[in-house]
Amino acid sequence: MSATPSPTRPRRSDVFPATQLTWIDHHLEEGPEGRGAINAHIMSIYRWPLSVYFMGTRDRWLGEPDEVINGFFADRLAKPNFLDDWRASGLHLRHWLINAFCFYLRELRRDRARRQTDGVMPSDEVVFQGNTRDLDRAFVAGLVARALQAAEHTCRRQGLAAHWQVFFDHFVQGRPYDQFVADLGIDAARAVVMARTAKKKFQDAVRDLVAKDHPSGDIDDEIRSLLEGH
Amino acid sequence: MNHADDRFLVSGFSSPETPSAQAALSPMIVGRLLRMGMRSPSRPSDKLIDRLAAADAHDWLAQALASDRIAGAKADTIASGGWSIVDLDALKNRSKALTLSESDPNSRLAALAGYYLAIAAAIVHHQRLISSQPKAELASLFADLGATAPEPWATLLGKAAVALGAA
Repeated sequence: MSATPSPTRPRRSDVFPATQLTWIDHHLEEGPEGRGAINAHIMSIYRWPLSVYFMGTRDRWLGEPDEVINGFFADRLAKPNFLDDWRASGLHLRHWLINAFCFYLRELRRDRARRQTDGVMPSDEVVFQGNTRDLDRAFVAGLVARALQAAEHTCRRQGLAAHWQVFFDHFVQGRPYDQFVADLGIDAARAVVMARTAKKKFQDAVRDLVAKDHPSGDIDDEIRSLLEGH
Repeated sequence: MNHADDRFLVSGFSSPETPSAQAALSPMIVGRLLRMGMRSPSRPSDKLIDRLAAADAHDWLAQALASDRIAGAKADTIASGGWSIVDLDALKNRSKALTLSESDPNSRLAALAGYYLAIAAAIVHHQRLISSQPKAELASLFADLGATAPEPWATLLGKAAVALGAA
C-alpha cells in the first residue's frame, strides 16, 4: 500500500470506522514504513507458533521450519491486500495466518511436484493437518515471553530496573520476597509495591499483544479463551 | 517433537544479561502470567490509585489528610505510628461517612485515602484489622495503592500488604 491512497481504492478508514482503527490500521495508513513495523511484529510473534504447527504436519519434508516460515512471510506479507483481507475476515490473526500457511504449503507441494515428478501431483488439497491446540499454546507462550521482554524494556527505559528485578524474581521465578529482597537492599514491604509497578507494565504489554491478534475482540474475553485452551 | 510441552525458553527473546534470559517458562507459569493480563473489575479505589499517580500527589494527599474533616493537624503522624487504635478506628469511620456524603469527587477521594490509610496504620502499628473486607482483597488493594502513593504512605501500605499476606 502506498502512503497516498489510490483514487480507485478506498482508504482503510473508509472501510473500517475511525473508532475501530487499531495499531495495525494506523501503521497501514503510514505506508511502507508502517507496513515494515507490522511485518516485524507479525514475524516476531507468530514465527514460533507457525513452526510448531509446521512440525506437526506431514509436510515437514518441504524444508527446515525456518526456511519454510521465512518463505511464507516473504510471500504473503508482500501481498498488498493480505492484512486488509484479514481485517475483513474477523478472524484472529494467528488463525488467519494458519489458513494462509496451509495454502502456502500446498503451493510448495505443487512446486516440488512439478520439479520432481514431471508434473504428477501427489496431493493438491489444502490440508489443515497440524494441531491447532499446539499452535495456540505456542502462541500463548510466545506472547507471554514477548510481553515480558516489552515490559522489561519499558521498566528499564523508565528507570524501574529494580522494580522489574523484583517482579521477575517473585512472579516469574517464584521466589518468596523474603528470600531475595535483602540482596537488593530493600524490605518485603517495599518489594511488594515495586513488583506491583512492574506488574502493571507487564499487564499493559500482554493486553497490547492480545489486542493486536484480534483487534475487534474484548481483551479480557480473549485472555479467558486463551487460558481455557492453554 | 512436541514443542508445546517443552518449557518455553525466554532466552530466545532476551539478551543474555537480562534476568529474563535465565528463565524457562513452564506451561503453568505461562498460564499464571497470562492471567495477569486480565483487568480486575473496577474498584472504588481505582480512581484514588490514578490520583496518587499524578505528579502533585504528595502535596495533594498531605493537604487532603490535613483537613479537619479527615485527619487534621496530626495527619503526618499516621504513617509513623502516632495514632492510637481508637483514633484510627474513628478516622476510618469518619472518612467512610465522608465518602458517602461528599458530593465533590476530589473530597470523596481524599476521604477514601483517609479510610484506607487508617486501616493500613491499624494493621502495621497495632496488628489490628479494623475492616470487614476480605484480607486478600485488602492486601491486593494496599499493594496497588502503595505502588503509586508517595512516601511515607507507600511504605505504610506496603507493610500492611505484606502483613495481610500479599502475593
